[in-house]
Amino acid sequence: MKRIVSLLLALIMMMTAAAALAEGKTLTWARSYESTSLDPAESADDESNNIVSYLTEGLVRVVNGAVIPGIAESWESSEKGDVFTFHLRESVWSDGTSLNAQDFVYSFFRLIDPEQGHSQADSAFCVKNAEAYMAGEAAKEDVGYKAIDDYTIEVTFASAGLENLFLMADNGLRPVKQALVEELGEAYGSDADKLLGNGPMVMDSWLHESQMVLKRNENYWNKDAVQLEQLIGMCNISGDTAVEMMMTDMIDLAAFSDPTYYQQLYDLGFEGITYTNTDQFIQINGNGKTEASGRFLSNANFRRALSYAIDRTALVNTVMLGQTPAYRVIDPDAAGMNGKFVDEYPVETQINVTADPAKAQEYLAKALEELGATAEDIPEFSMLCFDTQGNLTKLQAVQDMLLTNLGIHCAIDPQPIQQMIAKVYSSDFDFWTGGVSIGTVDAASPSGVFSYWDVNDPDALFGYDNAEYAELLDKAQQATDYKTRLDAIAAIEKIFIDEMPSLLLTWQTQNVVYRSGYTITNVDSGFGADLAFVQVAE
Amino acid sequence: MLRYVLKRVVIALLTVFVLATVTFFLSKLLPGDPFMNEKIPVSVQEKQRAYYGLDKPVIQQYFIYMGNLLRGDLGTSIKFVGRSVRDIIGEFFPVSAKLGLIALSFAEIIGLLFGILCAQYRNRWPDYVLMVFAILGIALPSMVVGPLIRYLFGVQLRWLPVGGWGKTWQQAIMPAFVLGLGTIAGNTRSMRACMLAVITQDYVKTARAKGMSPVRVVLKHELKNSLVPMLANLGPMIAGVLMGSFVVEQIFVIPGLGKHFVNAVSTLDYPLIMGLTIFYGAFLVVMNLLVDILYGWVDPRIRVK
Amino acid sequence: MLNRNTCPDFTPISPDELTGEEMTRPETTYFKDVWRNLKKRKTALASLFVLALLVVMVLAGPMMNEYNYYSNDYAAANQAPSALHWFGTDTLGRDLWTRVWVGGRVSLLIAILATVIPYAIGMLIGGISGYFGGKVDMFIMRLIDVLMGIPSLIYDILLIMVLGSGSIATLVIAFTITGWLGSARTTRGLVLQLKEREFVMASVTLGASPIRIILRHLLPNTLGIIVVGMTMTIPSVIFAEAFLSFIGLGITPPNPSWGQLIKEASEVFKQYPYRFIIPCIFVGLTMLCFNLLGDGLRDALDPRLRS
Repeated sequence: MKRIVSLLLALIMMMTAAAALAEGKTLTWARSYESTSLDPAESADDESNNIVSYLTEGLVRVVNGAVIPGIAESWESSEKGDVFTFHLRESVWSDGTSLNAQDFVYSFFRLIDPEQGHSQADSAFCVKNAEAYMAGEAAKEDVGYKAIDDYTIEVTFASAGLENLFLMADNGLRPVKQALVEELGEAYGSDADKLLGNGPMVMDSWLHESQMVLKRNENYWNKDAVQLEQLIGMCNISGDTAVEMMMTDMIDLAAFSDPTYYQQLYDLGFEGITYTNTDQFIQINGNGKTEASGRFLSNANFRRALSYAIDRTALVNTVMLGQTPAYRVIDPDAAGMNGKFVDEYPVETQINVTADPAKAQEYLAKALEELGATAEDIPEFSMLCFDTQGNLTKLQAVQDMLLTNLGIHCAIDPQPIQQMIAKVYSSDFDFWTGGVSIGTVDAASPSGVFSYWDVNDPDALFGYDNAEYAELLDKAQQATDYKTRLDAIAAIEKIFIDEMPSLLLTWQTQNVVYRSGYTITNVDSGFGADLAFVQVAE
Repeated sequence: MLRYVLKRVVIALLTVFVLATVTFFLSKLLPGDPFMNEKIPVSVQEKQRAYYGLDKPVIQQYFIYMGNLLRGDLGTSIKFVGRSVRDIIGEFFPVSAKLGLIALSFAEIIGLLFGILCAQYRNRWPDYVLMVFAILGIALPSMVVGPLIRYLFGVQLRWLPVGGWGKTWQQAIMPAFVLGLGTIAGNTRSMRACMLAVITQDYVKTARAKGMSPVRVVLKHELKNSLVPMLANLGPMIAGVLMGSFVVEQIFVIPGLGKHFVNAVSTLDYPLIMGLTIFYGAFLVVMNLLVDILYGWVDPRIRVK
Repeated sequence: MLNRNTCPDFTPISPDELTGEEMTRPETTYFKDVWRNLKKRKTALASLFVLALLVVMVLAGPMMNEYNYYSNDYAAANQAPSALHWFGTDTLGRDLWTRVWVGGRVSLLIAILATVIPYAIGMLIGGISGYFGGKVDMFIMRLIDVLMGIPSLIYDILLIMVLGSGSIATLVIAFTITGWLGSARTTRGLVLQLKEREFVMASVTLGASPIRIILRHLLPNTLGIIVVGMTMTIPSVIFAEAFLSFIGLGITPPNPSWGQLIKEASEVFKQYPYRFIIPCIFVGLTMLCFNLLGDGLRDALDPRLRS
């Protein structure tokens, strides 16, 4: 019996060894949670978005902040910059069937189908009349997305702007195959055999909440650029689990923002790259949870007082490890005209990185004078967050800073995630902690940092009412030359630092840590390292 | 007996129906809805609500849901777009059930054994040693024990894989141990107490006086009779363990059902909440029915009426 | 021949005055009896003493040094136990000695209230269910099935809505809603078995009311097993409190509790083991004491186990 067991064991070991050899160029990486949908029209979170970007390809791709040809080999724009004509290459889906302009047009109108309500529909809203079409207020012919012939697409944008081209790379606008979508309905993108792509990778198998195997797409138009033969995603791995799996050779790559984790791996000789991806805020509700709190929070001097009471350096040293105290809004990695934005547009007044209780008191006194109030009138503020230890510890630190430096009392209000969001929508908070992605192009993008305080945006949540700010944001978005856009961004930043519509705390960086032998060639601040194009040492 | 079982099945169906109804309305009372998301424009959110029928009156939604349920359709998840609730349960329940069964089977046996030992050696050293073990097993939460043994056996000693599921049988050892630890400890203490309640009964004394061997006394008289109180919560316990554990699944990266019980509620994935509740409820009701039948078998004085 | 009716020494008593059940000893002696027996058990007495000490410490402990439980000191973050900070400090440099004792107030209170109240309710309902049997039993048991089936997170979120957060009363209610179910099932199982015993039959024959039988005869006999179950739920209640605090139902930070201290520390236990070991010791100690006390109580309650 014993001999049989040991024989079997030896056999199993040989088989696993053989399997390891046969895999060739493989990268196994840690995914922190399961994708909710791989339908481009529904992929709402980072772990879905990155997979969609490996499986599909839009008209263009963004690589390291530059637009490069995707399925469109070339394009030209109208003089005004609001109409683009894309010339598509002859390419095929991963199953070998041909792909043409009609597929893109179908996918576009499916995305904004008024009957469906796809979550990513706003990817299309940069196109003229797309939003109106979805609301049932415009006819299909009036929408600015048309196939001129089988390999030409003409896109008319809602307004001219530098980032229109970037937005064409968005996941939501990636193609889906009509026949398959109509066969599967809403199940499209929910399983390995329920999707079809045209990107660098194809889905081989998908065990939900466990493991996803992607293989190189042999029908991809640019398959020579793809070095990896296999990409294996292990699900629900982050933090300590990821560290221990890296140590025991179960995975090759994982992303971390907390040095408690990544430092252990760097010490063991792992390699890594770092990039800024989030601005950490304590959001302020300018309307206040109650009238009494809104009265104070809508006052700029009061907000300045709050900001001076916060010790950003202490936060970084204790609860926001690995982050950088933000002394301005635009992070040091952001691009300027030729070099970095922060070098080309220095700020006169910086955000305080350590607490300045004297200044905080001074501004508080000013605020009280303006409002004709006394310190006793300041109500207890409510600090909303969702239920993670990090959020709770961070808010306890801020709570104590406001108490010590200003004598202001706050109560922490932790909630499950959807209840928290419901409270945000019903203005039931004074402060709210949440990270804001720095935006896919820059701070002025529709998804960029500055968009959150745009008074003209019906979706703005923080009750900040400043017309000049909104005008500058429009100016940046509609600028057709880079200089005008950057100038406007700098002007918005100045207002922000001065008025502090929300308390910016830190810039958060992400560390992608990997075993040596791989080279990461492209990083996206939104969904991280582009693993499809990872280079592998021989 | 057959009539009794038939009657119980009807009552069980009724119970699950009541459970489904109560859960449906309670879940609609929760603040917020699954489509609220600060990254998605409100106009799109409204379209989503309309697509999923959440803009209709709750009572109408209830009848639509119940109509579908009668046809055996549990609906599709809102969070995992397009995945049917039945698929989700069908994919993850076997994993949780397998792990749960492994954990339960060894935990029950060891727990009962320890309990018997404690009772036989009452207030002597085996009793105290096992008591300390039981207390450690309960007082140390799995969120601490799990990472601790994972680090020890997975990273330091490299005896066992750190996590994952379905590749090697070794992957089941640590999670099953952590999952079963509480049960072992709990059973040790409960079994001890139940046994002590029986040990001094006259019939046990009689059996001993007759000269029956101690082992036979324990097995034939004491064990069976002391199982009655242990049975009471066996149903809920089996149902609970087989449905998976959020913490253990998280620590050992196991694609089980446990996390969905928590996540479905916190993301307000109504169809998934309902599907999981109905599934769990049905399981629980069946388990409790079996327990009621077992009562009569263990102790004939408790007649099933 | 003696004439019964004219007997001068005796007067007949009316049947109304005959209450057979009250021939038991006066009620106080039962508890006196239990106490007398409990006193004989050294382990039980010792645990009572340790528990008393814990209570004293959670009240007085925070006053033994100059720190409070909420003020941050970033220069002193993450320190190991030392002469300055006897239990070390946490991420925000708060003194853990103070936080552990302040946290103990909530945790001990919860440990007692959130086990005793649900168990008392559960025993009563379980007793009724088991004693009456039939339709009553069926109804109560199926009600329990339904209540067990509803995901507890739903109750919890609804409770936050209705009662607001931050009070021990809310926590106790949250625990009570789901906590009585298990003890009711256990009690019912025990009562099903006990009610067939001779002493119950004797009481019934003597005309005792069902409520009296349940309260005086059946429930005391289940106590031994119930007490053990109760002590076993203490740690889970302490840890569950931490989870409920996370979603806003429990004690709002910066107010600590043992559960929260452990939860906080469990994420960094490799770097700072002392931070979870210390509160874990106190949870274990509390449970050990209640356990030994429970055992002692059990033995004291069960006359047959007295040696």
